[in-house]
Amino acid sequence: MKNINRDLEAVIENYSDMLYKICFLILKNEQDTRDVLQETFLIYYTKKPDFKNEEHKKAWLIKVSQNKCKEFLRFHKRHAAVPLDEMEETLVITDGLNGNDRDLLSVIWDLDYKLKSAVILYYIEGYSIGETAEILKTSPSAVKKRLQRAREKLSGKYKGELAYEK
Amino acid sequence: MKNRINKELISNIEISEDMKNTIYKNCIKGKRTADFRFRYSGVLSALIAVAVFGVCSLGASAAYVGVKARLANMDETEYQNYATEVSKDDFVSTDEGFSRELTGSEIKRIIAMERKYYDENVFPEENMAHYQTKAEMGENELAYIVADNIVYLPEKDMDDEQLLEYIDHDAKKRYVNIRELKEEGIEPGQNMALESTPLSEGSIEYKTRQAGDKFLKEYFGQELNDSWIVLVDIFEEEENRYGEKMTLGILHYYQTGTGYATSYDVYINADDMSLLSIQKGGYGSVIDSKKYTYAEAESFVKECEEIAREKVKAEFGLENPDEVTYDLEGLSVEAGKTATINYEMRFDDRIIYAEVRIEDKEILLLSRF
Repeated sequence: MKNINRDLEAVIENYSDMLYKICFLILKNEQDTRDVLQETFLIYYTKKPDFKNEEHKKAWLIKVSQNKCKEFLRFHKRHAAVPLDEMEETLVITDGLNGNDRDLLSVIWDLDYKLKSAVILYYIEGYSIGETAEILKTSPSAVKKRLQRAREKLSGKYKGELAYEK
Repeated sequence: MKNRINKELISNIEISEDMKNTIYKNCIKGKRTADFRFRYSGVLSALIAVAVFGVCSLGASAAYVGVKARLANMDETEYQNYATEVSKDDFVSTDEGFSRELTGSEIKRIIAMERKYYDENVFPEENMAHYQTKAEMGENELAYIVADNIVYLPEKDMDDEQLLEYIDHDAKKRYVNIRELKEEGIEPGQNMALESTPLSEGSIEYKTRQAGDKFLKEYFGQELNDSWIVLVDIFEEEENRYGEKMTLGILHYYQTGTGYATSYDVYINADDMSLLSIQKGGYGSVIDSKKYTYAEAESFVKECEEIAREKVKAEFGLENPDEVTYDLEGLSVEAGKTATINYEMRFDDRIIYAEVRIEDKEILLLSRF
């Protein structure tokens, strides 16, 4: 990369992997994920928002990318979501995971957007209920409900304990 | 007791260096994603208005002269109000800038009203009110509230004057946004123009546009007038999902406005000018159609599938798919209801997508891309 814009370069370097993981898990194909990330970073580049700190920046980027995922899922279903086992034929996704985690990823993979986004932000990214609600533009009680429903779906396959803070 | 999911669960999902580089380069160029699927987003749709209202000549329609004059003649206070509004935006989805979503009836009326605004220069009698706080607002008023950076819509459907103010607000905000960006030295990318892509006769873009117009007329009977904007993009050596390389031509057809109206996307293999995908999209494509509950829509699945199969056979020569799956959650303006059914047909080595509008069985999407 040339240093045409060091800030953009840095933000892509620092956050693209994290956003890629989240969006890929939601969109379930590479092409759409790439498009969502490009739109997200383009907004960052053109808007040049001010951030209080790195955490604020990270949350903003997730929020923008989630909006983009949502827009995509809402309006366009052009590229098919690829089943996890099929995705494994071209990309290594579950290597190194134990059986339990493999099953868990498989169930998360198939959750619908509302449940999955809440699970990713809360359980994987470690955001609080309130922060997850803020990012997803919904209420804390809605997030709790989504997590509850997700746990019900996950509980069939995943034997681990998933709970949330009261 | 909070997080019991293994953090390594998604550690194998990694972005490649190539993809990072591509994203970076595209951002620097201001280039949007190839298929324009994000046209509904607020900020980006605001970005693309420069060619119409800002600095470039007005290619699309003479009526824009009136709109342009209106926008260019905003007084300093009004301009600054919009500049402040733009600078405070931290949302990306249009919906987030409003106190509520538009109702189906409002969307329908806006689609019609914005053509009057842009093509016939029918403007509101007043500008949308700007208040510092919500407490200053009157009942059932339409107003931008500075403190919240939100446009508050009246609880009941907006009347015609309010709809025009809404459209006017959208146009002015875009105009100011673009002007501000230009002053910061940010040029819109080549895909961001709201005037049609200039074409030289005989070029691949020109031939692709001709093919696209032909498909549009053939499939949807859509005749184009000068209020339509047509963007043409050519991507060389583009690889499809089957690993086949081709020169990909993407055409996007739309009319200036708030983004609810019908638009079209046409994908063409520019090596032989064959059709890859054609889609009628936007709320405009379903706004007048009957909406069905998912349970009701289920009863149309077979019938619509037959129609989709016939079309696939006629257009792509493919029949007897190995597997057909359907999805009822298509584009709709009513929660829990749908106007369309989407099909995914798997053939030996191909996947075809089709979307059928239930009420009249029109095929809104046909894609082998």
